[in-house]
Amino acid sequence: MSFDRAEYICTLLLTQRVVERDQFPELEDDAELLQEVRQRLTQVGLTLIERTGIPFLAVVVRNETVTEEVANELGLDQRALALILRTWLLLVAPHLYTGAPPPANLRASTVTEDALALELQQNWQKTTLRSYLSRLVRAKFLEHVRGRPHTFAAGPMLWLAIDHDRLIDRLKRAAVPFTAARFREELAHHDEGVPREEDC
Amino acid sequence: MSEFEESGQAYLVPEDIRGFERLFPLLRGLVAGTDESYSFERLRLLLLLARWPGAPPTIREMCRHLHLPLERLSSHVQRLRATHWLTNEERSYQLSTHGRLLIFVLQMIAQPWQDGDSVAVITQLYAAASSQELGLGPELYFEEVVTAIEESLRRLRRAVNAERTPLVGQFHEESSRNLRMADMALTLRQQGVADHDFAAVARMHQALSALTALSGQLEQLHLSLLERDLLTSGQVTLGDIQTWASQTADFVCASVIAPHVQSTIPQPWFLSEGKLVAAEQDIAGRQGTLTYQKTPPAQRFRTLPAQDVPDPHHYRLYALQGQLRQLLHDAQEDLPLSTWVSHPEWCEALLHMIAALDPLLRRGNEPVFLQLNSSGHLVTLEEGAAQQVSEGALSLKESSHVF
Repeated sequence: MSFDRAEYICTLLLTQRVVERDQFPELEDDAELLQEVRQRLTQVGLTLIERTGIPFLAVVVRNETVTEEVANELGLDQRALALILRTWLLLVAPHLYTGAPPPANLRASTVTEDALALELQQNWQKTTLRSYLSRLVRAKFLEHVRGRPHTFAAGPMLWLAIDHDRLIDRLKRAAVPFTAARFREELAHHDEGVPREEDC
Repeated sequence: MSEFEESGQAYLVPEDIRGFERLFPLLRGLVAGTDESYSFERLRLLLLLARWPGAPPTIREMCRHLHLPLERLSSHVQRLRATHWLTNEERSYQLSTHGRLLIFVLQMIAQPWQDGDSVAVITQLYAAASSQELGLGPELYFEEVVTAIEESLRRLRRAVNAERTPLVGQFHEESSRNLRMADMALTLRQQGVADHDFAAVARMHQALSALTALSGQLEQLHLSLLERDLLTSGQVTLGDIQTWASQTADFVCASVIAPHVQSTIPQPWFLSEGKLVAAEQDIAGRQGTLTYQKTPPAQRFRTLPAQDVPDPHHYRLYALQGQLRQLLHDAQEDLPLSTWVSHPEWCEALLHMIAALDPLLRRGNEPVFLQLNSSGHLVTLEEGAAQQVSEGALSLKESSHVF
């Protein structure tokens, strides 16, 4: 194991925050090196995250070290978090909801700023939305799509930094009343469509 | 006389529908032989009279509300009077007892009844009994409503341990409906409250309170069972979640995702990403090996725009220059160059200043080499030969070039 190599990997992770796994093929085979990198990051309150099927590695702030001051510096306030959830529902959830593995092309789904503005028009001014979209791009939750202005694809953090399974479970519970309402509506439509016996 | 009435004596009414034969002339007054719209117009007329507040309306007022020609309305009124749906008082149009009962029955039929809905039936009857149209008086039936509510409460209490979702849903619906009915009955009762039934009103208050709690309990149970069923059967779709998100406030969305999302460190905004390492190395390298072998480009001292943040190297230089100015200001006499040079940290700042200020260094294009020797003399090295320039002394006589 090369300690210098661990230092170099940590330096790159700290400066770039998200790197492609291909940049460090040795991490796949050298468990000791990987452990060393993890340990060094842990010492400064960070964690190396990876996810099966996602070709990126990222460094995140450990939850237990996120104090109020740290959270302020991260810049993810309530609106930013809400926008992360809404974009996640459009760009990531359709691929993972049924338990399928991540797609080969992580940028397959895109969403335009106009589409988001239309969905959020009641609560978000366009300038506010633009500002928060830029913030999510900087935090690598979103990416600009080349050649298509004002169009966004899921960034590496939207795939890596979210516990998809638990979030889907939580969202399913939240959406139960809507499912029940849908069933009632479908039942009402069905009753309207089916003639009663005495009408025949 | 009609054919039926003519043959009435001969027609044998079966035992089980005896009394119903009186309905035929009544109903014939409502239904018109040829035009179906006539029947609806007569019903509308009866409903208008049933809901008419205050003194009975005139025929012109009825015309305005029903949008019917006067002749046609007169014809309907005559027909309804003849068949006893309206009273026979001259120029006054009011429902007869039959008319009030008919409207009551029609309103009863129009309710969304469900099997076994005894509380609703009794309450509607009580409401009818309380109404002036039916004229039965408010005292009737309240006791029955309270008893029916209490009975339903006993029955519904047994449902709180039920496990079947549809059954609990049905019980919850029934409890909500009975709650509305009990509330309605109590309101009606309180409008015409009498001394002797305070006990019944108190019982109703208790039943209402218990029913409210039970209804909430059943709702919770129903929701939890529904959630269990829907989650285990996988029927919650992504569309349902997206509908939820579209109708949910941002702070709720944020609270849902917050425990499941991790954040990376913020990007240093004044350095482009990926060049931070190179910048660090560059700065670190400069600190140890800064010597001038040729004229550096003239430094422009100016106020920096707010968005330009100098790097650490320049911060250090500025700090040293500041110290030098302060030292010169505080010194009683000129400061010998040797004193300045003896301070190791200030050498670098001095070199920068000399490079910027000494006019010798800006002569022609020939390379000029500059060094400070250890005794504080300023020398130039030209083609390998050292040449002393001056002993050097720093004073506060600052030129326009000076910071």
